[in-house]
Amino acid sequence: MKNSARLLPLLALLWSASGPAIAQDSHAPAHPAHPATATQGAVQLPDIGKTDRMDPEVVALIHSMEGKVREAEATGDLQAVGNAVAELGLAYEANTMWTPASACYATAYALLPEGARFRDAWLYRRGACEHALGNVELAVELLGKAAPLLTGTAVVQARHAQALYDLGDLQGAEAAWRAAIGSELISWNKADENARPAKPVSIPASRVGLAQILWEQDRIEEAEALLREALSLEGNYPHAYYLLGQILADQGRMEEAEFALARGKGAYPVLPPDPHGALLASMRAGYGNRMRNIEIAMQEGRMPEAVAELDKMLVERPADHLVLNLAARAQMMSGQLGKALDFLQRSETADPTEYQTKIELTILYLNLAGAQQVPANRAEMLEKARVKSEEAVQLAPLLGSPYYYRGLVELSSIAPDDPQGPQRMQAALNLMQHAQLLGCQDPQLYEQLAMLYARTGKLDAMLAFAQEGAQKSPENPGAWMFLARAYFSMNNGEKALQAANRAVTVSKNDPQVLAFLEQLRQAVQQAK
Amino acid sequence: MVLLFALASVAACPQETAPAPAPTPWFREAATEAGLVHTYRSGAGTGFHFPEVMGGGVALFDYDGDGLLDVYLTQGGELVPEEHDAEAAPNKLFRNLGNGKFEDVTEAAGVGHMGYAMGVACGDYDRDGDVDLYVTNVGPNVLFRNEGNGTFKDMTEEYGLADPRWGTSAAFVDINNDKDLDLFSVNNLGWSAVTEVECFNYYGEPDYCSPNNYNAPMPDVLYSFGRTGYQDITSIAGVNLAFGNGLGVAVGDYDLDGDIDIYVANDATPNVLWTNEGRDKFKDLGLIKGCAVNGNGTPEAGMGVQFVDVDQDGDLDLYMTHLRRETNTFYLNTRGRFKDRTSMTGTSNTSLMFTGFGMGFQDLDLDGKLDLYVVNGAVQAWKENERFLASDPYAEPNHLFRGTGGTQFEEVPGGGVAGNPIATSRGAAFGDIDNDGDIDIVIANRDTPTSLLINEAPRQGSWIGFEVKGSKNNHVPGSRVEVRFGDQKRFRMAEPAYSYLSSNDPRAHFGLGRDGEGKDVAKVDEVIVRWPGGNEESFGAMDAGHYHVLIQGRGTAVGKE
Repeated sequence: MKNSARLLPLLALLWSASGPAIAQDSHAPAHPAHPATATQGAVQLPDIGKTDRMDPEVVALIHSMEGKVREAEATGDLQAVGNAVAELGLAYEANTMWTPASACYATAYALLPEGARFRDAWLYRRGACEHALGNVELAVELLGKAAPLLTGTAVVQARHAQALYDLGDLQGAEAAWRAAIGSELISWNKADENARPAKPVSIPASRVGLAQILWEQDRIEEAEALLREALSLEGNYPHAYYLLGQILADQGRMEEAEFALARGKGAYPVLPPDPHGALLASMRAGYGNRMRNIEIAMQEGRMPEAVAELDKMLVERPADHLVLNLAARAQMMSGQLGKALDFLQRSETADPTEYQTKIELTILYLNLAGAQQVPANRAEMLEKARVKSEEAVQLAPLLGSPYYYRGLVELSSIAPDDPQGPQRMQAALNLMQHAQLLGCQDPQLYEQLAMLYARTGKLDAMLAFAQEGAQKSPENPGAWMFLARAYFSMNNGEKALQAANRAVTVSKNDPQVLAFLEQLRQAVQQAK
Repeated sequence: MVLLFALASVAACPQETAPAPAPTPWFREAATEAGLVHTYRSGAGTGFHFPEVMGGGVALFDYDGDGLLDVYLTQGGELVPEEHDAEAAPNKLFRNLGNGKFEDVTEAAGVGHMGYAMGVACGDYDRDGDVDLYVTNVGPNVLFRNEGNGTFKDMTEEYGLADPRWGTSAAFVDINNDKDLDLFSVNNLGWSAVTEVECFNYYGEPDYCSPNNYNAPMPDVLYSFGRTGYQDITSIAGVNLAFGNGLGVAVGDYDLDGDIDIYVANDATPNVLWTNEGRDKFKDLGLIKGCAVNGNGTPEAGMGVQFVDVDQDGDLDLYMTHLRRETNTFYLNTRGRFKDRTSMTGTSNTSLMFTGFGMGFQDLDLDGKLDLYVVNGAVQAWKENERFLASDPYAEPNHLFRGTGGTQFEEVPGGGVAGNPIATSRGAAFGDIDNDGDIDIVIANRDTPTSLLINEAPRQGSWIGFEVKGSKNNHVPGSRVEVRFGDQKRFRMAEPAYSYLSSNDPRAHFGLGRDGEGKDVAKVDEVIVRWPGGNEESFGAMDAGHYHVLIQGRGTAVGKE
């Protein structure tokens, strides 16, 4: 405890610089100040106010990290206290609470002696938090101090560049992006022998950032060269494609521009790797983060891991329809349709008004119908699917997706030589048209609709629809392949090949697309 | 060592910050004294129903033809009535009495619709010389035809306009230069109580969702007006081919090809630039023209938007308000292509902290340079100890930026209003309510009384304004007015559809500043109107300090640019 008495006035002064914490009704500061502080022990930690509405897991994490600070205080080791406060900051930052995170980093920086491991990194982290909060001027000040101290760390220079750009300082931003390119090494502190060894970073982020600044200054050729260099480092980098597309469009090179822009859709600026990235990821707590992690695990095929985590969540939240639906999806992906049905029925009981559960059940019953050998059993499953899809429509009449699945059930219910086939076909068409009108975004909708047009003999409508699909999703090779099929079915081989070639252009190395083009070539040749 | 330095810095601060003289306010809050008393009720209760955090809107329009702007204010209510016992309340129409006071004429006018309203659009669609009203709702929208006798008639059913989806902003626009006003109505997403999902804010507390949590963006609707009324031509026009979570709308001829284009600001999905290709066909060119996403290629949370010639070069630029942690973004028009040039405005660092909604560029101090006013309000709660207003976790201060020339702006402290009243602001409408030659502002606040900001900025010059009308005394939206004096040219749009959920003064207003000798500009040498369709007419010289009426066909034709 020997240092605690010395710490208290210093920290109090540091906090006092932050101004009033809560604005009153009539007057507010231009920017929110750091949170108020509570005197719980020697080191004043951020007071984040009431925690009763927060996720208990996150609150528990924060309390645990606060406990570590108190333990460090008990040792009397000032450096240990600083490190513990910084870790508390990481816990806050990992869970998107940037204001208390920034306060913790400020405290840690003040407590740690010059040259202490990570001390300069806390200065950077505080700048990054202030940047995330939109306190651009303070962020620039902090990052401007951190950048020359952490010259070997590209993310620090890059964040500094971004903050300068947000402030409108293009010259400063250009210099900082150049510093970032020169710092493409991951290391916090080269002087620290315990630090992670520096290693080169071969990512395009800094080049793209610099290219953007140059483009804004109409230095087109330099910008284009940097973007092409970035794309040579990583061929699938949306931000680079987006900027390249704009530059090409500026030059009137529209066809190239459209291609680049299609690949740049949904770009989001990516910073160079953050040496604390893994640590921050490990500190993300709470329901939302856990669910996201499970979904990622499922997408990446780590199914046992996902199922194990879902099992834990089901113990904690046995009646949570989102958890139950996710558990059902995991079982469906594993081919366990019976278990999936059990989860979905529990979900439906837990929340009978959730339309998404009805859709999940529709999909499941359609899958079960497909697995039946006995026609009567198949019909029973289809009837259940019909009921669930109808319930989804009733619950969410303004959404397109329930109509799409309702239509899919109609379509799936058409048996060979079914006397009601034409009526069911028309019903499916009507339902799917309605789904489209309401903005249904299911990627299969266009394909199903076009197929329905073809099967109902509306070839012109089918072609128009396929053209619309390609126009709407020019970056989707499937849309072009479908257009190619539509042209071919209308005996227009030349146009069919043009559309297929467009699919290849959009997705150059896709073996399926290449195989499709080859098959189409042969078919066109035979037709001749 | 470092600590000691920090201490020294802290100690020095109070001595260095001498109290700055209080800036002269640009506006006076006058809603209560004017009798413009209305509060938009979001109906927020224990749940977080997404539309609750998005409304409401304001219209400034002269419904009774007395030359004074009246005010229409939308009302929310209860999205899930079974959760509340409160009685629903209607939208309100306030008549401008001309003496700084307003009178509630809702009942007499018959426009007190009881839906959960969001926004409002104004235009004389039937060209009978009075202004009609279109109100968007979470649920079927409503068209009120102005009967010319102080009352309105609900035409919704007759014209088949009762789109059941969640409407937001809307604009009356002549898409084919036939002088009839067609109607573009923006939809947000497919929301209903049963599609609501549970979401959390940055502190992990239950709060409103992002629109993308619903994954249900909705196509917008285009109605064409013809002999039999309105007809839905959404699919025919191709405006169903691109869509997002629509919020704001702006209309104008951005490519100067003689027909009006439509821009939709989408929330967290790419914006759409419906480029008019003639013959009632539109194509979304947002991506290729550079204004679908920001300079990084990232979709932002588009809210309020305006087509405005910020750099006064004769073409329309775009400015859009966005979510906290995104800039309010400026797209500079360069020969029909847009470039994100937010960094050159001086507004980006301020906007990163706040969530902007209604906005407008107007020359508020009459110095000849456009100023910018942005109203703010969060969509996710500020934590207790970070709030700007203890009683409202979504409240944020509004911002006034003074134009300093070109595309540069600087923030006016305190938002230009004494005490900078803080609320969760949404719609904002701009217009000269007291006809004194400067622009006032009405702001719709969520669960807080409406603000009426009367302009009292120290005048930096003279002004001139124009009503731009057709032969039937009807306003002609989408017209560009140009004034020339000395060696200067200035451009303004006579267009009410901009900002957020709101309809603005249809007149084109110019601050003229002062001449080289420091005297107010007394007159302009020439006034030129570019009408929808691209024809231009000159109306000669006109005196400053007045509103003038410019009637299509009464000027002298000038060659097309």
